Amino acid sequence: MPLTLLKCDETIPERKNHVYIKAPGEDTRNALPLANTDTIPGSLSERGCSFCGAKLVIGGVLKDTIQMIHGPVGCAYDTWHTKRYPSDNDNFQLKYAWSTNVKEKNVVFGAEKLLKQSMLEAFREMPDIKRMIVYTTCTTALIGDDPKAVAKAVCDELPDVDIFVVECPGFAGVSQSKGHHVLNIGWINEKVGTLEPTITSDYTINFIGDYNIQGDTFVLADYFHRMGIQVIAHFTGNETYDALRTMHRAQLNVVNCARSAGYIANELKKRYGIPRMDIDSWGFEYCQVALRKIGAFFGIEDRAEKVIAEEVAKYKEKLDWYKERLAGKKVCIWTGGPRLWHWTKAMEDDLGMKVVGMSSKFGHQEDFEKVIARGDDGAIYINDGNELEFFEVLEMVKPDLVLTGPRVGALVKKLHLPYVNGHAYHNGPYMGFVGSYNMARDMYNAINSPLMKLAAIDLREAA
Amino acid sequence: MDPKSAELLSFFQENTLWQFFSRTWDRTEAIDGIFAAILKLQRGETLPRETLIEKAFYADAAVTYQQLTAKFSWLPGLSAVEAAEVFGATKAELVDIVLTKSKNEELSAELY
Repeated sequence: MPLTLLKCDETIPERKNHVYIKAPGEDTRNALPLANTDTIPGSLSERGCSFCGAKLVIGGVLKDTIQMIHGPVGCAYDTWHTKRYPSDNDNFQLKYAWSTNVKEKNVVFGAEKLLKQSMLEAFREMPDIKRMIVYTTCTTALIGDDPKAVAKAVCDELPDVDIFVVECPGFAGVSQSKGHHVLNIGWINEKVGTLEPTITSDYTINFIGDYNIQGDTFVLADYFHRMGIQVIAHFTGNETYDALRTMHRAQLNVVNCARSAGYIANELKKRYGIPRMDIDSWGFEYCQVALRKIGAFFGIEDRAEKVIAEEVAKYKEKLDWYKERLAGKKVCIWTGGPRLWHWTKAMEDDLGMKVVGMSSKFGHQEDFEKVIARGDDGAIYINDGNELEFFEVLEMVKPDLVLTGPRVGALVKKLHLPYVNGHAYHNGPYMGFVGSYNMARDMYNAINSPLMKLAAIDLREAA
Repeated sequence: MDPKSAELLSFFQENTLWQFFSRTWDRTEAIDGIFAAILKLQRGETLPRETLIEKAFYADAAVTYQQLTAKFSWLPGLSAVEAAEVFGATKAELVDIVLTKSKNEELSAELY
């Protein structure tokens, strides 16, 4: 079946170009959903804004950096504490939120003075912190504030600080994806190459596109440490501002999330000649392939095999226990974009599950090329899905489990369907070998929990 | 397409990410580099591993070739000429899918 108009979309027929059901023998030459385009008026999108893509996804992960959000306080509050990315320095980045708290009078008279005062105050209150990212928001972009000029003035007053400005208000693009793009390009233009790293190994990489959700970075860093590989910069899980300035000195860019950070990998390749190796760091089998490729790059295949053997010995039997019990279960994956293609085949190969529906909030057509190539015939692929479409698809495919974020998860729970948090995880980490096991356990627990069946009972009738 | 090439195509489509790099130039570079490296491995040749890009092609090709030989028992028995034909047909179809007839409108967007 080609691109499909769902019944709920009869009044917004443009949605037909965003929904695809894969037919046997078809590939992406036959059809490819539109993606990274404006949300169609009338469609209740689940997308986030472009500022959120820069701050919540990438910049806000840094563990030693003040995140100064120049706008109304809600922009700071809504991008604080909603993603669980810890750090090894007592979670500095999760404890605090910073905002210039712009009010109506600042809109009328300008907010640059307020921004400067806020930046100086933040550095004064946190004297050990010397790094800051400043973000514009819709309000302060519209009134024409010049945060780069303010940042320069602050740097002139405080010569020991370094400041990066992200000019990506919420309306800058169609989704959070624009924020990824703006931060990536801004960072490589202004910061990469401004500091030299201390090299401690003959084998150096940047790990790009992992944000330490519930400790993913800690898992991967352990594997690299055991292989004797130095991670020059981890973009951006559990990372420091200054480490990201030294990315130009790595020998290899290992890329997991190509959607949020493929841009900087491409630029590092073009400008510094560092090759890009895309891998899947979710998935039991995928992880073995990834470590083998990194080992082969450096000629340390034996070290990779040692780590793989140790991890497989620890987790394979446990994973197989879940595989026996999860095989044949039907799953929907409704996440941002890349997890569709990272997870669909991994869940089928590792656990025998069947992915029947996938929806991406901010994926581009590149992401749909990947997921359609990897996904099953008969599966439904949706770009920028809306709530009514979710209801209709659930009725069509009747999944045993939905992997999605808490927002859509609330909808799913009201239908008494098992749900696992596919964004910030239930009990992660989900990356690496241990992560595959954790994810299988959480899915098994969700599917087999009696809670959803109990929730469906109307106590008035029972009485 | 012959059945062997079709099997390889299916494997490459499902398992490799380098075919889906973001831009036309880096998809082309990866496909050309890795297919050439796999063919050399199939012929038993030693691959150069001096530059970083040679190391990257080697790493992807070597591990992919391990996966291919584990999955397709007929692969190691192909002569050099047969392998060139089979992989040539696979590569041509892959290029058709991800480059020539790709519907991805961003592949050559100037402002990407």
